Amino acid sequence: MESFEKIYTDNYETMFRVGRKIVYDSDVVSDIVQEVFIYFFDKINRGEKVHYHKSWLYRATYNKCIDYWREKNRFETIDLTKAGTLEDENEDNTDAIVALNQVMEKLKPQERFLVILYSEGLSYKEMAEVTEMKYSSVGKTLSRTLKKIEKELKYQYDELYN
Amino acid sequence: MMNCITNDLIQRYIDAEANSDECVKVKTHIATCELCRNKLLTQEKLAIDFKETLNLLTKNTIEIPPMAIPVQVNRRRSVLRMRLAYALAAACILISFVMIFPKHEKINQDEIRMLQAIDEEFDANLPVSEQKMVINVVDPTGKITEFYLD
Repeated sequence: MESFEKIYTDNYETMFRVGRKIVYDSDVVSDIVQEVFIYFFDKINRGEKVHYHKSWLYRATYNKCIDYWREKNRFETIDLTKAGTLEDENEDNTDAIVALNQVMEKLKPQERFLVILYSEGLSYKEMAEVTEMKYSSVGKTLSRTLKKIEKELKYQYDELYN
Repeated sequence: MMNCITNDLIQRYIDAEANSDECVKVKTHIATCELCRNKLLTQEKLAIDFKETLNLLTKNTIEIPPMAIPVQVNRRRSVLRMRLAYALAAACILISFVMIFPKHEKINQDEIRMLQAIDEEFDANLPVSEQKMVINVVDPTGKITEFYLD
């Protein structure tokens, strides 16, 4: 078992980035990541075994973010995508991000999780482990999802400018 | 078209997840098939664009806050320990009070006790001045004195 500090420093950044791609509020994400680590630490202290702590941490972060998102949507119906993204990035790329986020929200949860992990540069093996998907179907799902995103983006673009 | 490579294989080839046989297959195929070559290029571009755009969200360097978890857990424990210490201290004080001031079994009585007993029948209808009354007074020495009131 690696030391807890090492796990923390090794995984914090990726967890934060994964969370940031689902919940657009950095403060909330850092809270969520902290919470996940506290839970993880308690779990280890209680003597429960976590075989692949990396996948466990990513999955926990993802689930927590989804929970937060659901909870938030229950009470608020404002379009948070735009509000959340625009607040700290006033650059040319904002439109692209907003559009991409809107498309991402339309994806199935598993597909979304998969492409987020893909953007983090995980290998297929790791992605299969974290999403509990078959290794052989990762490539297929990935290519299909990327195609879907492209199609949706094109559709949005057409709707906006034509 | 029959022998064209699948999207799945192209994706795996792009992400360097295809095995050596598959790599050879893709390479030989795209050398001859323009359609698939274009497909590979667009798919590759799509993947790169997607990654880049999504990573714009997190392009700011992320500061890793100092690890606070073990400290927090220790604090929780120390609070429990403090509580235990307080409880023990309170218990000790209580016990010492009981030990230092033991209960006195003997009561030193200095006053005169008055016993009132009704032995005879009495008529409650008579006024107080006409009623008979006996008052027994006990001294501290134990001597009983009787007073008759008529």
